[in-house]
Amino acid sequence: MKQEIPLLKVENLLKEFSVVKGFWAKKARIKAVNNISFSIDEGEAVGLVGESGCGKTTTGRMLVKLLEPTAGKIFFSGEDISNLKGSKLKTIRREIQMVFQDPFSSLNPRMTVYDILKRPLEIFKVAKGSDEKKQIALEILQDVGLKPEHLTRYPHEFSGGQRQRIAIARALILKPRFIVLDEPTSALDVSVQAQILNLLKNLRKEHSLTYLLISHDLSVVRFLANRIMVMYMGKLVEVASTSELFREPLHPYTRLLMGSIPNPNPRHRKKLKMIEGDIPSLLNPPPGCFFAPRCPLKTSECDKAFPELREVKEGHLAACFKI
Amino acid sequence: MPKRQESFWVVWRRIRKNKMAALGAFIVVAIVVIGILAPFISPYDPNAQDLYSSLEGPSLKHPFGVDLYGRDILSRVIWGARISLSISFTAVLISGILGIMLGAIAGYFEGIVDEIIMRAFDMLLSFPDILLAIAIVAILGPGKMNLILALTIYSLPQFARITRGSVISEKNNEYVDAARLVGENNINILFRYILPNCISPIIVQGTMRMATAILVISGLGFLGLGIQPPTPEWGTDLSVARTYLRVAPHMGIFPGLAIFITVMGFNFFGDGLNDALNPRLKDR
Repeated sequence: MKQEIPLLKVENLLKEFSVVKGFWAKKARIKAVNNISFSIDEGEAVGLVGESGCGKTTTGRMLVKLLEPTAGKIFFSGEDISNLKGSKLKTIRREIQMVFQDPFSSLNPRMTVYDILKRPLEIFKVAKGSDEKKQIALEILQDVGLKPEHLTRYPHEFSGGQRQRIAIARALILKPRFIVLDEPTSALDVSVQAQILNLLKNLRKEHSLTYLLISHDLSVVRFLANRIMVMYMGKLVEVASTSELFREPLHPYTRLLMGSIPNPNPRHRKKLKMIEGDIPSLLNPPPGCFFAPRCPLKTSECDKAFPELREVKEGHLAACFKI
Repeated sequence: MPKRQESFWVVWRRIRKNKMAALGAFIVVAIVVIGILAPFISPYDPNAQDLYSSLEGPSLKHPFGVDLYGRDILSRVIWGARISLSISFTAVLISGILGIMLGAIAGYFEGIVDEIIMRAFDMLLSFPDILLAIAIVAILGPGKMNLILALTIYSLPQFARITRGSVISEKNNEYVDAARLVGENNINILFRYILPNCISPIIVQGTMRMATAILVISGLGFLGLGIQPPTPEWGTDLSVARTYLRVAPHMGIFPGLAIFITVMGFNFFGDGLNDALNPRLKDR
């Protein structure tokens, strides 16, 4: 067992959304995030992967306190932050930041880069004079690989990759300890993706940051994360270190996900394995294991109950009866 | 789609390219200048009577002719612009400020606040356009202040609806979440982040509202519920001219044309602004 308190600890986190089906129908409730628990140690970079709609972004938004969890607890360095409000919430905001998916939507088109970067400093009264604010903004701009003359420009004068650099600078300027990266490269051109990923990797070292990287792209997660959590329909189905997970994926869903990564080496040409069928509806989830309808290993047991996440090998958790 | 900072000059260039919009802009500027400079450019006192030349047609001395009481119609049309513009501008300004505030709050907070504000405005909207203004003026009595009040109430729901709609679509942008993450409070997020990005449709709405306000002012004047004679006002003058349409058609033609051109100008200008400020129609 670890001695120190994990930087972030999540216990039975649940988020329900109500969906109105027609005018007369009763409101249905779907569990976007379904009772998940995990913890992240200081200095880790944890990847959260899954198909679109599996609840990974909802999880990330709850961690940065943009969404209220329906139930469950979030602890940040030992402090319960699940229901913080007002000035206490504001204090914790400084520690937890987020980089959003779409840099075209995440920057206010009417603010210059300097306006975007100086607001956090003003709100948290970090810098005193305007000279000091400018100094901090210039430093962070250099950290993310932008030039000093970019400070007075508007977002529309930048490319997608540069915009994402600005968004990263905004997330870093308050010197947070934990950053949620919500698909930080999926809105970018492939050529720019690598630059941003390298930048994120270096920044983590230089600023000793802890990451939660949300992505649907296993290769992105493999590059940046040292531990990976696989999510399926609001549940965690497998958790393992990156090397372990890629060496020996245990859950059938993870294995199928791995099979869907294209291999650039033509000698290893293989037919991409497809996952049969679609994700079942969250409105009407399967009675047992949510993956059972699509699972090649399915037996009758799988329709009865949902397998809990259990430690199959040391440090390797999976939620499946068949392992 | 990437959003762009709409600079004044970019918008101006697009308006100039669009003939109708340019015509509208020209008319609006001309009418505003005429209204502001009325005391200096009107050839006569609009209320000075010269009964000897009563009902005289257009001439070099009186280009638009003379009315029943021997007043110079050109001067009355010029002063009429001042009255119409000042009243409609005041009303649009007040209803704009209030409507934007209420609509922004309704759109931003949604839920019960939204329901209360918007249902109240729905009630106002359920009255046919001009009937509401007539009812208000009929209750309060004619006069400049009551006219402004009636026009303000009449324009308020339109501004609120437009603002609410754009706030709702704008607040889904991730920059709003990002602002919250760096500790911005609701008031700052709404007024510093969201609202400045909603300004284009509001400006267009304001221009269009000027046109309707001017039309309502003349309509009420025509019905005798607006500005009372002898103050020069286009609608009131038009209503007097009705009786003498056969003997002295110029009495009605010129105030009527003034209403027509002004309203058309504001509408063309508003349409042009809409196109110029709408990023999706950029390259037309």
